[in-house]
Amino acid sequence: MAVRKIITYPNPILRATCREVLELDGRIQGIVRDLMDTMNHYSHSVGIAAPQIGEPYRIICVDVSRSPHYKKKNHGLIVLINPVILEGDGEKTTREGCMSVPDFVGYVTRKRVVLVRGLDPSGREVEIEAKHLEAVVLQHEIDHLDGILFIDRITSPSSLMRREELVSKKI
Amino acid sequence: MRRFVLFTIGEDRPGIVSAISGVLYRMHCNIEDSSMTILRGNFAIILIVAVPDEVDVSVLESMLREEAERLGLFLTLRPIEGDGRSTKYVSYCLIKIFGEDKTGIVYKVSNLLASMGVNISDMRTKLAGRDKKLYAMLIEAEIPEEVVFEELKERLEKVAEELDVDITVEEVPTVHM
Repeated sequence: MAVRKIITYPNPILRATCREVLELDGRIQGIVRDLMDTMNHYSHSVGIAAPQIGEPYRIICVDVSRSPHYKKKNHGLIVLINPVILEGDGEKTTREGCMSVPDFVGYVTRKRVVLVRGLDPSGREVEIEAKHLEAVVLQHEIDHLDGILFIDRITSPSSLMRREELVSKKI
Repeated sequence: MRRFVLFTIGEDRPGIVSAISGVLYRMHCNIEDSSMTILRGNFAIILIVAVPDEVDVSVLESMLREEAERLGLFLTLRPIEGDGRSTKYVSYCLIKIFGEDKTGIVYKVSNLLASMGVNISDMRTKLAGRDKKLYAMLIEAEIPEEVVFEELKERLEKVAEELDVDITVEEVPTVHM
């Protein structure tokens, strides 16, 4: 049990493609525990990915029920190993912030609904259909596993006016 | 280290940002927040600049004026103090308005926001269209804790109806991961 230090940008670990977990050994279980401890330590955090604590493995931890204002239906604590997004639908724009990119927030548009498959900490395969904020957080965390940060997903300098609106308004 | 706000505007052409930032770079000044955009063929720059103590501001200003004159820009430089933020806002909303142009759109919408204590943090308007002039307005606003979003939305929709323009008001959650 340990709260780990959050790795912040521009540390190269955040840009690496993380390794698939091949065996759920003691070391991996330790990372899972530390990931949960670290997320729980930061009251405003609703998700974390292993590279954020310096572990380049495909492990994420999400819990949108920790957000005091969030009332929509959700799965509570989700820990996923080797998660993949199978399907996505719709669009949702959120102002995202990330512990690894402190002090920046940006408008990011992601899928509104996603179907994610992965292993739970006991090694059982699970599929989760998530909506709204939970879907957004899952996509944000899975991005981390491929070295992608939310700042890469911002589409325009102001991130307020989206590109198509700018184009359509040109005289 | 002191902070200044630099504002400049003039007929758009390539090289304006380079000229202004070149002076700042040579004088070891750091550009912090900035907003730069074309407004009807004019290029406008607003910068918050950190100026090291050893830099003589009158020298900096005369160098900036020299470039401004060369490029036909209006320019002001003035000192600012503090970060100037105290109110806490809990959520954000995006307000988009499209419709036939008429005077009073900005005033009526912003007046409502002000009366409810809602703070505009980013705002752009654009006039376009051919036969009929179309007006587009995008606002990002910060909502204080005591304001109920649904009420804000309803009142904005009423203003839009009176102005006969289309409006979308969307609460954008901020999520920290």
